[in-house]
Amino acid sequence: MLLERLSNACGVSGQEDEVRALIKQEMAPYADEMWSDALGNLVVRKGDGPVKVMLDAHMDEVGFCVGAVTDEGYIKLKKVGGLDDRVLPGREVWLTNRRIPGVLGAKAWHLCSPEERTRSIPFAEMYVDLGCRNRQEVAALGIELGDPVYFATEFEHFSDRVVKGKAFDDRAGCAVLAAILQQYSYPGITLYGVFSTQEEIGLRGARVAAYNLDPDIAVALEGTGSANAAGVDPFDTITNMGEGPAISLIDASGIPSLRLFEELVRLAKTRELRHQHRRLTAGGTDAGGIALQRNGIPACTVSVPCRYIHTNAALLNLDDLNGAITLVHHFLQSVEKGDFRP
Amino acid sequence: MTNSLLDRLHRLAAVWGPPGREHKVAEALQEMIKPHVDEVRTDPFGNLIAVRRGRPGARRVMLAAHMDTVGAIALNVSDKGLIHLGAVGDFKAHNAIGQRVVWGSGAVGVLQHEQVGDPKEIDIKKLWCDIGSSSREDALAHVRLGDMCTLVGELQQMGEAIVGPGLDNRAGCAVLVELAEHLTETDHEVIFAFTSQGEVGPRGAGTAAFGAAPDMAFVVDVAAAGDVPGRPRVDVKLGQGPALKLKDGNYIAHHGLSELVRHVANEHQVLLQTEIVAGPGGHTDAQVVSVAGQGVATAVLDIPARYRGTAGEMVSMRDLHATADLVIKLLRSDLSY
Repeated sequence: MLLERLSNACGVSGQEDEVRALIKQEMAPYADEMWSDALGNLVVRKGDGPVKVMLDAHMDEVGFCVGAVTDEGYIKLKKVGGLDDRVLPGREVWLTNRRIPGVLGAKAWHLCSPEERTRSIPFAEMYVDLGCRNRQEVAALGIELGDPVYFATEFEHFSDRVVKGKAFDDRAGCAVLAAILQQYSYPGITLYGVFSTQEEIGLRGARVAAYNLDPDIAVALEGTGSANAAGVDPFDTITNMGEGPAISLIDASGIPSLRLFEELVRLAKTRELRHQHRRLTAGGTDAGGIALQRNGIPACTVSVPCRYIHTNAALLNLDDLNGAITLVHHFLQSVEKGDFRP
Repeated sequence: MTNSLLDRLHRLAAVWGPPGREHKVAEALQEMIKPHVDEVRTDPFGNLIAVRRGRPGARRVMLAAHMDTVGAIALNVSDKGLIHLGAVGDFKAHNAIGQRVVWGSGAVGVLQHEQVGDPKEIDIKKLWCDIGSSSREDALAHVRLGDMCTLVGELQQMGEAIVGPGLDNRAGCAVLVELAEHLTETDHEVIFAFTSQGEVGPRGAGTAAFGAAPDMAFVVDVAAAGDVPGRPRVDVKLGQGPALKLKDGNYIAHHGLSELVRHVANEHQVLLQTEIVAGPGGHTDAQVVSVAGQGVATAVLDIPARYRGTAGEMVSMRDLHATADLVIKLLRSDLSY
């Protein structure tokens, strides 16, 4: 399945080439036109109707880059995007897109003082151990400063509905967008499928794409947090994995266009599509950056709930992902038929 | 009701309009400003744009005031029918306890907080809105998830001072309507931009400025006065005229335009103060207007206010009149700097 290949592909912010190449190959048979812009966004145009709709999903994932190499042959990392220090020690990682294996090391438990055992290990004390004995051995592997570092996670099925993988934020959104471009056509609209870059470090690619394309409306497709897991207050779960795609109420980067939001809710209710709302004011999506371009672009976000997002291993429910495809498809039909006018 | 500045302020402050949901404010403003301009429209972001055409060759000036007030959004509803909230803009739980609110649906409610021993434990996560419902289903029939509420209350006059919720920034909006009415003579094209989402971001003013591409802009907003306990570093006082903001953490004033404002105020004996926000804080529409498109020379005229974000915000009518007066004088000048 495409989600598996997308999740296993590697691309931190600014180094999305491998992901872009995969998507380009997958989309080629379905695109009326396809191009990349100066920021590395991949734009797939389908149809040339009077209403311009942009669907955005970002290709980049959170990860690291090589910040320094020590004389002893260890790698110090810089973060690319938001990562929780507490989940990092001991993780297996891949250095560069050649997937050179390493492990995120830290001071051993039996060497720690009682105080050190109760704190979370600061990121500055972690390092990647490649099994090298000195700087020269690292250099011999062809590893250079700035090279990307990824969680070494292979996609797998936990059950027929629940899958595990890295980078579901936002390869889940990429999978939704790819499915729409592959499965459907909307001759009445100009659909721009934008696989964007550098979302995790400031919604950068999508802003440039929206400025250039100047769409009438835009929907960002995301993998978002979900915490309906052991011990979490039901009000604090953000979204609930397995309860359908999430229509955002608000986030730190944007307030959804009221008309877009209402149309999505109307369609979900009248077509009896299982759905929920994303109930967290924090976090940001490309919709916030897109909305501010030019004279303003009405935008909103539809997300696939993902547990343990921004870690080495996230979970998602395929019914939620398929539900997002269906919801967005109904929305595009509504725009095409003129039931919803931007 | 007459069309005095005070009456307009009363009407505007009573309209519900949290960030991104300013359409009712835009409707009220459209009706007020229509007789005084050549063209009114809303843009895709939700800004209300009113244009008074100028003479060929004269300057194109944008006047901006954000329409939204801070508010809170419904994120969850309990089985008991209580609505749990998230902040939209700088909405502070400690300002909201015991206050009345109105929702976009028209439902009214009262805000209350869990009992806490230490005021430091006050947090929006422990705040809820009670709309008189006794079940989740009943509450959701009146307020759906994503609806927003704002503080409500009557405006009251205390001499020159006006007290009530929503004065940030309906005071600025009222000033713009006032000066549109009294701007009998000017060569310049004036673009009135009543902006969306000034309390978050700010956002809408940037798209408004991109669309208008003016030669220069004056932002009229409300700023915290320093003449109350605990604010020794802020020099702005109520009743001493608008404050020309020279910098905050996100904006530095255009030097030439600031000098022009000072010169015109001095020439016409209009009260003017100077405002400098040290450190990283401070947000006005100017931070996005000044960098929109190819860049816009921008000055901020702030109406001093006490107790911002509460149901008892206080401004002085003297400052509102002085602000309108100063902008009119500026627009009657040749605006060269």
